[in-house]
Amino acid sequence: MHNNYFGKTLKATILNIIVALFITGIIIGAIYLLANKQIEEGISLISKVSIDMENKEPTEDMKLTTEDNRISNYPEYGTQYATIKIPKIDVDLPVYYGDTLDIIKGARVGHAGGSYFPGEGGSIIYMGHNSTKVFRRFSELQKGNEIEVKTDYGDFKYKIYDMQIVNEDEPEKLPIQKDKEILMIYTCYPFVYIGYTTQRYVVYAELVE
Amino acid sequence: MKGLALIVRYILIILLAIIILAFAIVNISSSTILSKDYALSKLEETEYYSGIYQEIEKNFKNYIDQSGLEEEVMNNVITEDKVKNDVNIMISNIYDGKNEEIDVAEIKTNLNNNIDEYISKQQGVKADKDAIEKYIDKICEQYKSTMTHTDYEQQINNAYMKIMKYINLGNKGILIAMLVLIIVIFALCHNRLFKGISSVGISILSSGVFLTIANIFVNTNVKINTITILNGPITKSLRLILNDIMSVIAKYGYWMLAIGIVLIILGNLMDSIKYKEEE
Repeated sequence: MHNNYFGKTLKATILNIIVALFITGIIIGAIYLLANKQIEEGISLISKVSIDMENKEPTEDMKLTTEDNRISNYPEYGTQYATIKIPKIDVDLPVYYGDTLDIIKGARVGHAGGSYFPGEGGSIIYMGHNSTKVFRRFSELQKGNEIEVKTDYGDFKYKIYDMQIVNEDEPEKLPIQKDKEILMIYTCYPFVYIGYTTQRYVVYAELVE
Repeated sequence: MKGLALIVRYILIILLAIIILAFAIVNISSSTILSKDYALSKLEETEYYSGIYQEIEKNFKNYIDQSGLEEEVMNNVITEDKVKNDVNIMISNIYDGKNEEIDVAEIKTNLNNNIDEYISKQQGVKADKDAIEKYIDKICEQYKSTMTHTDYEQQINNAYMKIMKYINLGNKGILIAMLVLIIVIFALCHNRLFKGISSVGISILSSGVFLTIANIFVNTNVKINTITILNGPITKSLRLILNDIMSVIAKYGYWMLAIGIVLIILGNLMDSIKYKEEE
């Protein structure tokens, strides 16, 4: 008698669980049909703001392809990829990819995102503070002085051909172009000043080697 | 006729499963991300206030190199209490619809005093009043943007108020719909009351399986612990809240699985006993 109850209950329970799973399948199928695109977009958006520091793949070395003068494997934002030397004013500093205040803090030079890299044949824009550790002595620079940039993929030598004081709202004085390789380095002006400076001292140099 | 009743009963079981899911989602969201108390408790848990205070100090120091000043001018410009108070203002703006501005007068005064003191010690340095004011304004702007990270508090609050209105209305509607569906399912089972119990169990089990699968799906496809947004304290709080919501979803899922199976077994067992006795 008890076995009979048990058998019937078990059979009905299994059947009900199968029905429940089937219903779940129907709901999932309906959601998939109605919102599959939105779900995929959501996941891709989240993966864009995900940084897995533990399982990070090592970045490959930067290379300059000679056919089209393009860099392969650009450096990660906020990392050092070069050093800059200006012998005339004893500058020998690391160059970081990025231009936020956090990146250029202390004795660092930043590379403006959006400008070209050394060797690519276009405008390269670097910036640094006007502190004594960085570009305080920019006023001593003269036309013809040399600037050396050393990267993992090559060394580049530039010669200064102009210096200008520009306002911070004159981006046209730092034009982005790809006709000629020009290195433009700017710092805040006046060099010794207290407060927020609205002018920039720009040094223009062209590639010689 | 019997076959038609059976089909209708299964359709109602599917509808009940969807309604139970909606009930779970509404409850999970209103007890987590849509609750001001919950948000405040999570900020406390992640030590958000001291984290954002350190972040602001770090950002202030980034402005030192370009100003011709020394780091000492940033000493005692802000306090952790001020930061905590301003974070709470922002939270109230979002959750309570207040339109309170973050007051930077204290920062301006402290910074002005520190800069004046610094300048009085220096000799032969150009100090333009306008440039200093502009610099202080930049620092205050930086403070405000690190505190709020959004200019859309009012819009977020409007959206929040709308959601809460719909949730309150929806909750009542969901409960009524749930009750009606259960009554109709029981009515369709005629005299077999216990079949009605197992039918409700099927709906609850389906919802439980769905929530469990959804939890597994999210955990497989989204690496919550690698999400990085704006700065350390915000990232830490966001990760904690998302992980917490996922664990609440998992808990709801497991409870529904257990309740569903118990109701199915109980309903079937009682039904077979009663049916046999009647025979």
